[in-house]
Amino acid sequence: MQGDADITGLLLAWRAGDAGAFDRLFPLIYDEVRRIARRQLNREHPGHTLDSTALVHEAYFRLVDQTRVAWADRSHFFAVAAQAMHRVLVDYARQYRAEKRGGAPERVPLTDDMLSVEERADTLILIDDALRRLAELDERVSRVVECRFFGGLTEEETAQALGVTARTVRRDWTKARGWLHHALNGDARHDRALS
Amino acid sequence: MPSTAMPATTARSPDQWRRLFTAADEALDLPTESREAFIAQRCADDPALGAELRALLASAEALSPLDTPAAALAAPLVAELSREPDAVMVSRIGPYRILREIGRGGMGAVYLAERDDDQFRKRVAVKLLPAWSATDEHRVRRFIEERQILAALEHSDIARLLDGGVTVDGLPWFAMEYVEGMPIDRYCDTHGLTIEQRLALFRRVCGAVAYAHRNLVVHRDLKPGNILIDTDGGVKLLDFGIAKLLGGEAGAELTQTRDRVMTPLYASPEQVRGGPVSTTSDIYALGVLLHELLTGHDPYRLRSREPYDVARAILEEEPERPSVSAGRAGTGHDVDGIARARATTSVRLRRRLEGDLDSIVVTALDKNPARRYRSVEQLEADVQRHLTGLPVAARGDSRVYRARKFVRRHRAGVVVGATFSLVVVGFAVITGIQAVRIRAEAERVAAERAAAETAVQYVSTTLQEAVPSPRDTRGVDAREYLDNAAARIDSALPGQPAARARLMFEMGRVYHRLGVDDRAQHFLEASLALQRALYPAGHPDLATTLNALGAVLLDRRDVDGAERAFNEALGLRARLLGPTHGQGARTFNGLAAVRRRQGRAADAESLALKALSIDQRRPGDNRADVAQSLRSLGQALADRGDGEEARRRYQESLALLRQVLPEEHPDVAGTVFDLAAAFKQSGDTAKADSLFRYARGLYEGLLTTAALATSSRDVTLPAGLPLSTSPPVASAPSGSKIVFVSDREGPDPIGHLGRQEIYIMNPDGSDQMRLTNGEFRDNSPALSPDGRKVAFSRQIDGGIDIFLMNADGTGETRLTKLAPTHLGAMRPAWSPDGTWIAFQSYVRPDVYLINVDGTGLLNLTNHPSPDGCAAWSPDGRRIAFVSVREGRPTLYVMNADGSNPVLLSVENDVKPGGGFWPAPAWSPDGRRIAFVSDRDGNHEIYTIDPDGKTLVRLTDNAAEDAHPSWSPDGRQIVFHRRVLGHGQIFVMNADGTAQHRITELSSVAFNGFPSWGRAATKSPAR
Repeated sequence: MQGDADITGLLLAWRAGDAGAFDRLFPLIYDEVRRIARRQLNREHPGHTLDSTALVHEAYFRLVDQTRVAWADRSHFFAVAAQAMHRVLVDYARQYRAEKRGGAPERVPLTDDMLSVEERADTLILIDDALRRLAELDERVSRVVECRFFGGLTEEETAQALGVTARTVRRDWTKARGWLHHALNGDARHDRALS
Repeated sequence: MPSTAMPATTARSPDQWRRLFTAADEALDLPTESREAFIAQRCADDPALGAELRALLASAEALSPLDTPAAALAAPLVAELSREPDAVMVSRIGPYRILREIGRGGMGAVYLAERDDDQFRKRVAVKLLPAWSATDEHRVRRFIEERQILAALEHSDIARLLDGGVTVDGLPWFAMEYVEGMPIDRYCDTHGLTIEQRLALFRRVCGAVAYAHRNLVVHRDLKPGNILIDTDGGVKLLDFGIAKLLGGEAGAELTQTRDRVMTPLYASPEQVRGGPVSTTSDIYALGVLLHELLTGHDPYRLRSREPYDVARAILEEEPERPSVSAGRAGTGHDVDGIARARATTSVRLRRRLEGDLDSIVVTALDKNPARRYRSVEQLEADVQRHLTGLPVAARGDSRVYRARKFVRRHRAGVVVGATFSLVVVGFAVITGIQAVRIRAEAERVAAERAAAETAVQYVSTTLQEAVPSPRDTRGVDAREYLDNAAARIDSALPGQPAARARLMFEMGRVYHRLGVDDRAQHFLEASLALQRALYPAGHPDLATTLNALGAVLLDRRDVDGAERAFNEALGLRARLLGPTHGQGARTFNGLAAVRRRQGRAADAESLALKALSIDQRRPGDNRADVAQSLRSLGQALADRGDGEEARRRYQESLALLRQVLPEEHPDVAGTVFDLAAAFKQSGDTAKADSLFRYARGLYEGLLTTAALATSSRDVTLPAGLPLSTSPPVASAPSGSKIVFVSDREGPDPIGHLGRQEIYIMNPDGSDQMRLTNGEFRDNSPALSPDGRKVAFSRQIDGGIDIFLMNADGTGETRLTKLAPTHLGAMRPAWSPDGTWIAFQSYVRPDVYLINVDGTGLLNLTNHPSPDGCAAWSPDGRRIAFVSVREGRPTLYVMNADGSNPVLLSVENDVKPGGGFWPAPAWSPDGRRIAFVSDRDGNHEIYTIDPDGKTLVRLTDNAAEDAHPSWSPDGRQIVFHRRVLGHGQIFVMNADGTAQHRITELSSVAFNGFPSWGRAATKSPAR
């Protein structure tokens, strides 16, 4: 298995509390996620979609020696994989912007119909910036976004990974959406309050 | 899109946001309809908060970029960027203009650049780090801090770090002195450098590394590629501490060749294990480098570069001595070619490397960092000492060795006693043997005596040193050496019966150590005869010889002879020296062993106590003796049934032994073994297992396999711990068998690398037999319908493939060859007629079919989502499997040709959270499917009928249950359950009753992945 002696051991060590193991684990997962993403896209598949759930599962499959890791631990791997997905996608976005154009992005489209590649890159970067600021406020909320938006994890999987209840995940998701709306649309004063 | 349609909040400061979030939590806890009332009340005296809260909740309902998964959003972006290789086309980095790309690796790209505002146009190498490191601010900050440290390294042999920074896009880079040169190994070979010349270069490398260590910088990635020799023959070390800057370790560096992760050969054991790295890891790497420079080989007999093999070798295998490696042909070299590259012949090369250089390399490569050289200066100094003919520290403090060096160094002008030169000449062949760390006897050699005695001393020490390890692979049998020497003894020292008697005594003891007891007895008796003739009135030496003889006789099971010898020794000593003399302790211990053999445990105990009290009262450092008495006492206590006290004594003994002996010493291993037996005796199987395994590991690294036989004779090994693969047992004429996986013969005590093997047993747990051979990790066994074959998956060739073998373990053949193509094959499942095997690919999991003759590979599911865990229906028409196409693992059933996959669990909302493993399993009557689900919180085994109705839960406990498999008569189910942290195999009735365990509990080993099938009706042929 591809370096599974490292990754499984690191995963276990990290789960047992060795924070340094995470530093070594992350780049390995990052690379794997990236590799799988490219592989998924290179297949003859109509629509050129990336399925983060499938991707994260495949990464788990490929990297972790499942005879040594309890099934319950996979959520933690998924959390790291979500983080890796986050980095991978944002790195692509930044790379794209570095290569193809300069300057700051201007607006954030709200749906992905017919979005150009530039717009997608800009969206990701803006979301990433907003998430960093959110993380300073409330780390867990930003991690919920990471798990769900970037990692494609379900509410339950997110809850397991972060060690909270699904209800907490739902609340955090709501807060995050509210936050992001604010972050992306500036500090326009609200015109009216709901009554 | 208009952005002002929805109200945005005005909250600005973090504190305000936090307050808002807290309030939102409370509001969101309530049902929607109650929220407004809550807000009104909660924010009665803070209307601004109320407004913000309402705005927040409202905007959360609005359309958001978060609605689209990030991956979907990014897909076209990734696709476009992925079409090209990962090149970031740059023309400038910082003040440097990029000329061309020099190299590319997992840790980034390297460019040749020059500084065009510099009138000298100095050439530099600019390394640009990979994108992922850029977005981690913490890492970037650390990078900048540590760059200062590295920039301060000023040494002519170290490539200087010149500059560094971060690009506008946040990618870190640094610029280094550009060095044009050849890697040191290639340079040495191309120029045909002699050993001396190579050693000189090596010393310079050491000097540079030592300088860095003094400045608290560890290289972490020393290898020939980082040590260049330029055209003037100057040395340049590259990439100092770079691995540290990047936050990675050499063991984690990703050298991507064909998308694989390589474990570098130069990684030290602690790096491979992911442990803390220090200067001693650099020393280890220097050892590997030296080995390569001297021999053209890596230190381990690597079969392949697969990460598992490399890691295992680094952690477990003894490094090969350079003199041996140089004589061994390798891939792409021949022995003569290697010698020629060193400007010598192969015979001379071997001799040149024997001795000092062997010792130096082996010391640097010690698995235990504490036993390597303590500093690079020490290593370099030893090389220098070797070059000038001085004794090398790595050889240990041995008088013969030093004397020999002394002689060689001062060839003229040394006056040597005639006897001495005779003995040295006569035993020249033995003195060539590598020194071993058995210190006890050598240290007991007393002060100066007469010339003959001195000669005997030297020889004694030599003989003690001559006890080589069976791993002494110089190609000459260790026994042969001794036998040669033995043959000469009769004619040596003709007029000196005392000296000869002493020699024979030493000879006897060495043979005993090697386990060659008949020769040991011969020599000891000969020595005894000589001494009796010499000292008719008795002499302490006689008693010593009698003790040694008694020990040998005990091992040869001549209890009466041993008793006689010990009693005589006792009488002698009492007569000559008085009853409390120290040497009596050895005799008491010997007699204690005799009493134990005679079944008189209480007497044994009192004798051992006597020995112990004598030893404890003796002055001087006799820790080894006290340890021996303690062990002897422990053995007597164990015999008497006082396990707890026995254990305590063993542990005391071990503590002392470890102070004076290396771990791989037969006395240490034997005492550990005794301790394990004591635990087993008191029922603590878990501890016993663990210690037995550890002791076995020590023995395997030990001096002689004979020691294993002699020391284990008194103890019955626990069941399930076979010493070797027994010949196959014919299966019962009727009935069934269970195949399963176990790692009971690993993981080894120092690492994580397990040895997963396939086993077979009866359904009651009896006759457990190992089927596979231990070189690979094997899993997922499945018995063929007729019970004659077993299919299983094996990790091999960097991937995984399916193999077949007979049910007795013979006739292994490879069924799939998908590992090298990165597809991989695992989880084989036999079709009911035994002609197909369904399996699951490893990468991009899909369900495949293949004929058992290896033809007809067919992808059944071919779906982008992972599919796997195939299980045939008993009529062979359908296949149940698991798919993630719904987003989480779910049970499906399809036709055996892959058509019409149907979600199984429509009506009952079954969520088999068990996922990819365990497989669903059809009952033999086709009416039920067993599977695992965590829908109720724990992993439990359920059954359901193939239409998705009538869900029944069979197990109900806090432990995790998995991998069900039906008995051929459909009345029982075998599965595995995690107990004490590891899987063990259980059997239950098909209704969930009568659950019982059939494998041994262990805190170390697991047994799992059972598969139940028919036993072959006759002995499997061939």
